[in-house]
Amino acid sequence: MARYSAQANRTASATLALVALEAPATGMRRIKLYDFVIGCEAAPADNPYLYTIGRTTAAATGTAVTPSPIDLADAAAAALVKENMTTNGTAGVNLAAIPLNQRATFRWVAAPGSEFVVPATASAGIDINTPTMTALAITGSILFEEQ
Amino acid sequence: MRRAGGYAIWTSPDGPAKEADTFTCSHCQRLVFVQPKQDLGGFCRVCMKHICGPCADLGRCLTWEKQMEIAEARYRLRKAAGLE
Repeated sequence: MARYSAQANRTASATLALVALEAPATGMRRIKLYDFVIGCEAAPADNPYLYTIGRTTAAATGTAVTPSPIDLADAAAAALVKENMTTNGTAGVNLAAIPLNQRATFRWVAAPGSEFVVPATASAGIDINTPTMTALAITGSILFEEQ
Repeated sequence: MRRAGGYAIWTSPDGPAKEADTFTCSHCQRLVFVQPKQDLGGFCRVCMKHICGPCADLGRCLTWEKQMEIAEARYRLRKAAGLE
């Protein structure tokens, strides 16, 4: 079970997702998201942000990010990670809603066995979305495991 | 919380960091933040795991693992039939 990290950025947009983690069209495996950090990199200001973590049922369109294996002996990730989305994936069930001030940073770490798991079906995924947000650059890091 | 399913931390320049234990609903995988003396939702005595309030209200056990097996089996069937 290989583990990977990826960093994603989103430039100014109020509605496009920060990062999408998706199963590929072929050769997919189950993906377990077990750690993420989200925050804003713009100059400090008081703006309300709402991040949501949700499932997606169809692929988003964005710039591909190459996940780095935590153990360099592991093969490249089969999962797709995307940033700077131009189209969000089809939204599914919401897994979490995290209201934040722009100045704040949030991190969540799962205990083993409590990760968000994406089934091994084509284009299924999880994204970190921003339904309520000022159009500023934001950044996130994710850690995930492939089964 | 004993044997929490995760840990969340909010860091802000305006005050001390806020921390909370979390668990992931065994049935739908929603993230639940655990606060002291808060109603946690429910506990499924079939899969013996914590579940969120809406899943507790359903009164049945359908774990996320089982739902994934169903989705993957359906996907394999559709692929074999040339529909994917």
